[in-house]
Amino acid sequence: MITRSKIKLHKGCSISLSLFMQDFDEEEKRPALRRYNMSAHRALAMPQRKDGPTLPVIVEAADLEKVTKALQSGKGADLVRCEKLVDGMLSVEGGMETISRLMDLSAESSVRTHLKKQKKLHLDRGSVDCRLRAKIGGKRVVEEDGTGVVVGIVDSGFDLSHPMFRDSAGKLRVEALLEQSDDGSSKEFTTAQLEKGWTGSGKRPGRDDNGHGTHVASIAAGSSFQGLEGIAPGATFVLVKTDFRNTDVAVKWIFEKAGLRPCVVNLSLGHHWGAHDGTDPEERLHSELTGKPGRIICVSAGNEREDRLHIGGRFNVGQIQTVSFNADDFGVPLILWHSPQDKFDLTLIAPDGSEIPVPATAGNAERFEGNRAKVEVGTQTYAESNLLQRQIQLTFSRLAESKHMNNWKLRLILNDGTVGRIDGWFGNSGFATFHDHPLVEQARTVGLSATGDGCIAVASHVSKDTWPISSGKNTDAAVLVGRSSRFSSVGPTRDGRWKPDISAPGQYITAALAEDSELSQEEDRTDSANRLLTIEGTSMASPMVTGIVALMLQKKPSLTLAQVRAALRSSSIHDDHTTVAEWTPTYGFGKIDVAKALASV
Amino acid sequence: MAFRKTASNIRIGLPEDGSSVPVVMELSEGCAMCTLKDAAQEAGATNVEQLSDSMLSAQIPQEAWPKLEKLAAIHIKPGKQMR
Repeated sequence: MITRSKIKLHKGCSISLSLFMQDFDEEEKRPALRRYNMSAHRALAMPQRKDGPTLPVIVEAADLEKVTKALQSGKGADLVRCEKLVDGMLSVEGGMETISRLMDLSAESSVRTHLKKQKKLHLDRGSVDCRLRAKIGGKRVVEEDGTGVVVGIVDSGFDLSHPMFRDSAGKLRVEALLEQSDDGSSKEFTTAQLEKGWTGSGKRPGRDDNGHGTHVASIAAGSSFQGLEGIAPGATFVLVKTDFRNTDVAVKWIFEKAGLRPCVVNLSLGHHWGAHDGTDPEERLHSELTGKPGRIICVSAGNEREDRLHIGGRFNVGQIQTVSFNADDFGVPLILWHSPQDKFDLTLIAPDGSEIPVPATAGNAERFEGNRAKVEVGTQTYAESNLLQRQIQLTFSRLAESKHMNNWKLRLILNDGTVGRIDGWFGNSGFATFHDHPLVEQARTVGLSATGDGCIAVASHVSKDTWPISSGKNTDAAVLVGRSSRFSSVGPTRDGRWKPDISAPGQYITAALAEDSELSQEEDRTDSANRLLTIEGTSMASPMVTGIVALMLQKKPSLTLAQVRAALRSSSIHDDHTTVAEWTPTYGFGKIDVAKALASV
Repeated sequence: MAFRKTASNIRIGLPEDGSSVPVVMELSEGCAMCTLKDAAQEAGATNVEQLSDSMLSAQIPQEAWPKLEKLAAIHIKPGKQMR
């Protein structure tokens, strides 16, 4: 039954303050209920102090001196703070005596008192989802903040003017930055050089033209800023603005910079140019680099679940399949892998019907030209995993039109063999798209180097559907909070190993916005005044885990990759989405749980 | 048919303008790291950086490929995408 009662609005007080006082009065009359029946207004607004609850308010008055005197008169009551903000406005915090005095003043004169609203952390859904913060109030539930740990980020660049890269005293938290150029050269910057570069008018070292790197870094370890905070705000940054090729050099450089300190590196980058079995040189390098205690790498699993860039399946001898694709770029690499025991005939069929056979034996490659396209086909042995690598490279003339680029076909025939399995990937998303066909798989879309054993591969799930933008807020009604992001790449690896390792919040994540970056032009994603950007991807999930690993390394600096993986695995959350299965292709070992992971090391 | 064969035994995917390529070189059995480093530098490689006991990162001219592949397995570094 619904009962109706009148609420007394206090003159000169905001409605929320009146509601609060009503709750307070009622709870004072019913002390037995207070512990369990504290109103939402009160729980959110009132910090609990040893000497009783206090309330933060903003007071507007023409005569601030009069208000201040009234609050400080007598025994000063329970006034905690009384600060002038601007002319005509005071910030006041005090107990019930202070609030009563303000209400009396409000009733008598033109004084207006407003309850300060509890701000929610912008990252709260992600950090609550991974159980770093309490659901109510948003307080961190763990002591660790990453102090003493180096967090390395290899990405598009960094807007070092953003407060999330600076400590509370305004000092830059970046110990070193490496800027890689497209010609393969690189330049190193110290903190002092970065400070100088970012305060002067010249070229800014490590500048982030895209905005991705600034966002990623601030998720992992950004300082507190307007209610926003990264996972490990006490960590030290070592950053690499990468050329997107020499990421191996970047990771090695970060670990060298860390010296004896524990270090975790984030790679929110990837590709599909490899056997997807952990044997790529960079993946083997990661295994070697993380073979020591206190050396961890986190890699985004990839966003290619629905990109139709992978075909794979097991053939019977004599079986024929033909799969079509459209080229989306002027250069299209397609690489297929199978056992040398299997005799696969592969033929590329151009839109005009021309047939281009891929050499059957290893060590051969050929080039064909015609109809505004150049085609290179070759076959070689991939000794690392005893496979045959069958490669096709399409290069279109700039004059090519859709009739030249669409409706290419690949015919696959298994003439003889024992294994019968073949897998192929375009080099990455955006090169080309397979048409619907039974061979097109969502499985095995985890990219390199996430398929390697030397890293924690991170999938993404949805942690919120609404985010701040300059004109208010934006909502994606098509996502389901808690469910795996529809883009998040799916395991296992080509050779059947379990990747991704873990799922973390990656959709949608609000973090630092790089000024004048490409992403700053996205009006439906940016809150420019507050320098915030909301985007999604396993790129955002990976730095969540990177930050969490930094907390784990702070607690136990000698943790190995195997120990970190075991801790994440044993402490992960299993819910209706992940199911109780030990591992699933979309969530890995489950959703990350910071508090439990920390407790387990 | 419109497509015709124009060359055999090419190296797939190398830039046609002959520009240098970022690679990882892995030592072949019996070859020493110092030998590979010297050979790479003699061949005009730039940004030579030892990654591990068996891996060398460098930017190598395409014409150096035949000489260097006698000493090491050469892997072109693929471009990565942001996720």
